Amino acid sequence: MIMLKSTRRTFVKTLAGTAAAIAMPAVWTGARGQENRLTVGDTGGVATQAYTEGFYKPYFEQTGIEVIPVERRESPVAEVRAIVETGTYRYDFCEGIGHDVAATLEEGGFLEELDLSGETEDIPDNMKSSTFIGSNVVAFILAYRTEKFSQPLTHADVWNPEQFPGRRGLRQNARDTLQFALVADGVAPAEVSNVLADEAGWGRAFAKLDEIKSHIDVWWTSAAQTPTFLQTGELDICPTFNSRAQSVIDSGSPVGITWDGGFFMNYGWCIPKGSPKADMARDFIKYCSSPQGQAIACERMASGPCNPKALDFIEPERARILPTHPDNIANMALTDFRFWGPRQEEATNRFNEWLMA
Amino acid sequence: MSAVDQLARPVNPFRIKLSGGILLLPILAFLFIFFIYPLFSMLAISAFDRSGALTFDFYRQALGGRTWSIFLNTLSISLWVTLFTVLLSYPVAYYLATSKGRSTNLILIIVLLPFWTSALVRAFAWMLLLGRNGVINSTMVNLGITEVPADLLFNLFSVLIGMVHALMPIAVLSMLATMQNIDRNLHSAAATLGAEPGDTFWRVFFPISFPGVASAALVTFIVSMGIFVQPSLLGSPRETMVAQLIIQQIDELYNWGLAAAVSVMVLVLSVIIILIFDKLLGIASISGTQQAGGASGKAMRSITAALGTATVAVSRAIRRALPQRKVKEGAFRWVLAVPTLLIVLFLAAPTFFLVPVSFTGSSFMEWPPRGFSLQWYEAYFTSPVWREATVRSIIVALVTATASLAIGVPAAFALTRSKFKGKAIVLPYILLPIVAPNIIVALSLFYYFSSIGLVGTDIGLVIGHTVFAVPYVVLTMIATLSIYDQRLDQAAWTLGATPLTTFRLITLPMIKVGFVTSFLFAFVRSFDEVTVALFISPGLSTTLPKRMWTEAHHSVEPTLAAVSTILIIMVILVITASELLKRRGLGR
Repeated sequence: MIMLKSTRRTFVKTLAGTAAAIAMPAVWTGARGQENRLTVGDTGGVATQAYTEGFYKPYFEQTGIEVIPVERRESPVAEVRAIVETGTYRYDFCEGIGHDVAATLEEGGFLEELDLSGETEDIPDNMKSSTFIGSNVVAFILAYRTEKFSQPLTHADVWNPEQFPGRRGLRQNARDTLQFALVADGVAPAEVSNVLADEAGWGRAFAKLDEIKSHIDVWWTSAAQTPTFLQTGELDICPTFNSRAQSVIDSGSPVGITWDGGFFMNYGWCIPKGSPKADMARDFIKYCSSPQGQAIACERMASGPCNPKALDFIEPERARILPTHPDNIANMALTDFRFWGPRQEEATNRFNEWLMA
Repeated sequence: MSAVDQLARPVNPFRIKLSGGILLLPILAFLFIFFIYPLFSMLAISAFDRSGALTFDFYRQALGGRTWSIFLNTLSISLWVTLFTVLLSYPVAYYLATSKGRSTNLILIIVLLPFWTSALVRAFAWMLLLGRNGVINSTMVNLGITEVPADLLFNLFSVLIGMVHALMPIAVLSMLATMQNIDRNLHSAAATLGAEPGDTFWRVFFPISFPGVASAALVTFIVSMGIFVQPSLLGSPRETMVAQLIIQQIDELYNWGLAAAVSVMVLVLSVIIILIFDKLLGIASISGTQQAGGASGKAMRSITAALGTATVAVSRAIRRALPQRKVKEGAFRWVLAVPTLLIVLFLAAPTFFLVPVSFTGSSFMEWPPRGFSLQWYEAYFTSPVWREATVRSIIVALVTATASLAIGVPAAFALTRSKFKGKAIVLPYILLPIVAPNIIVALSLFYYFSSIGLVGTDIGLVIGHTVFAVPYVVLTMIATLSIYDQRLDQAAWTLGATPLTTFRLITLPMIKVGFVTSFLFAFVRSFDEVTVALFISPGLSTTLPKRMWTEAHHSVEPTLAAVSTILIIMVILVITASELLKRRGLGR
């Protein structure tokens, strides 16, 4: 028992032992070639799995270049700016960047030009720019609990609590919620930025929001909350991203999606300016426009492939629930981020003031 | 025993020379190099516009309508949180400090439970507990207590629940570190002098435990001011707090200038609050002069005396009302045990919820869990990334805690044991990392570290975490040391002990609890830190909170519940094992 004399020492030993026991199988990382490796800023979760299967693994098999995901912040603007300004490249390029975010970064001069030849030509023009190529599309749609309503809901129905009673939530976000309100007021999605071109349009949007404010039970801030709201019935009506709603539907819950009146956003690739492996990353990004890869990745994420040809590689039944399916995208519009970009701050301040009043 | 004694003490000249400068130097230098300098280089952008000209526009915006009301909001929420946290923590700490036996170990483990689950996961657990169809509402409806589910979520109530829950472990431990050193014999001494239990508590125990209360209240308040997870996930727009505003400016509106201006205001406000706190309740001053400083000290003495008299009157009245049944000796303990139990239940609730949820067959965290499945544990144990992240976080946290103690403890000695010019300003300086908005600190460290090659290194991560962890160490050690009777040291010296021997044989054993508590705080601060980790830590290796955080942004899968459960089991195993070894060692 002399060994057990010092309790502090035994405590540390126990701790170290526990740590070592878990550490054993994890020693696989470490020494590995630097030249044949690309690191990608990635937000984790299902996206990592989907991209690994759709792109990283097949690319490795084809070229011997390994693409390794590195966690990045969900909102990457501050991070990419800091990376470029300091020249400290935590990762070589980014995955899952919103087209709107890429436009902001492009404006600041923080992105590399991309190679827009080959299969990238299949990507529609509104899903790419000189510094950004979309790989998948996510839509901001209306989701609701189907067992509570006898018919599919429209945006306008959300504003009719007498006829369609139920708990309602809206996103605590100026852009998405103002767009939603104008669609509910009868504006076609593609016309929203025209309506907001003058003060009368803003007045109209806020007047519409005034009508429903007292009926909103939850102003959600994090999209990760919304599947839980729909799953547990915390909310009966909740506009959210289609992939979030789909995860609840896939688990067997009675949830429906209304595509008409929705807005979509492209998510894709970009390279921080000055990235030392920019050329390698450009080649990889070009590869990622292939329809087969996009089909595999998008099917898993319930998002729409940017390359329209990819839909041919997806089971028709599954393709039906993706945003870029012709039936779904027909009455949606791309969020006009070039319109919103310079107005974002003012819109947000005004919206937040309205919300807190 | 003589901590109540208010006599001025003789000062050992040797110690004064040693303490003031040399003991404070490491922490002052460390924080200057790795926190103050990078932070203020970053905050300078608040005073310049895009073309580089001097401007006060950002400050004008920051003082504008909405920002101002968010500031007021933040202050009022933090005040409420502090009030409830201190009120609920005191009985638990008192129970832990005055009870013996196995139950105290169990209670301590439960009190610390919230530490081992990511803040995000805890907030989600509260969302599911308090929701419309959540555990509490469905239970109440099923039992017929209410017909319609109550609105428990997305209001001030749920924000307070989430925040108080998050902060209570810190408050309980801060108080416990002080209370553990209060001599048991004081109770008996007071009783032989004719004091009733109520009187003894208010006139003897409470005043001595007060440094712990003060430091708990201060920590709670300033930590509250920087919190954003709970108000954004559990609150409505009315509960918007200033940390959310700063993050929104940086992440959504890209207005770094305004974010920096708001951060400067947060820092100024916090320093003012810390100084007021120190003046009123005396964090550093209590210990410096060993006097419950001036007017407020006198006021406190009369308040506690009044409370003591009132408590005695009430208990006498109860006794008179129940003349035939003699109130038993143990009654006082029951009065304490029942609320303690309820508070402990509150602390354990999210965990009791997460453990069964981790075995669900569904792919959502929901209640009740559907079926039984080990798939979420499989997901953890078969993923090298999760395991690697766990080990890495443990190692980083151990190194951080050790480093924080190394520079924090000497500083606490200096602050409690010597008088010097500018002492009042040292405390806010050391506490600044707690109040500085995390995202701003992370960004400024990124810019600074990349200029000296520390980005992407583990040492950079440890330095970043130590910046955040060391204030907790200093504050806890101050609370512990301030009720430590220095005359014990003097007694040792007169008996011929060298300062080192005195420290080893007298001081150290008496402040052991403070050490362990500080270590734990520092460990946990690092173990749950995500923002700096996202910016600074090596790209190819991850930490556990980073992993949980990014995972939770995609989907709040039961894997997160499983990871929390695994961590809790690990902690319980470590505590139990060391406890068993200690017992065997002692029984040898």
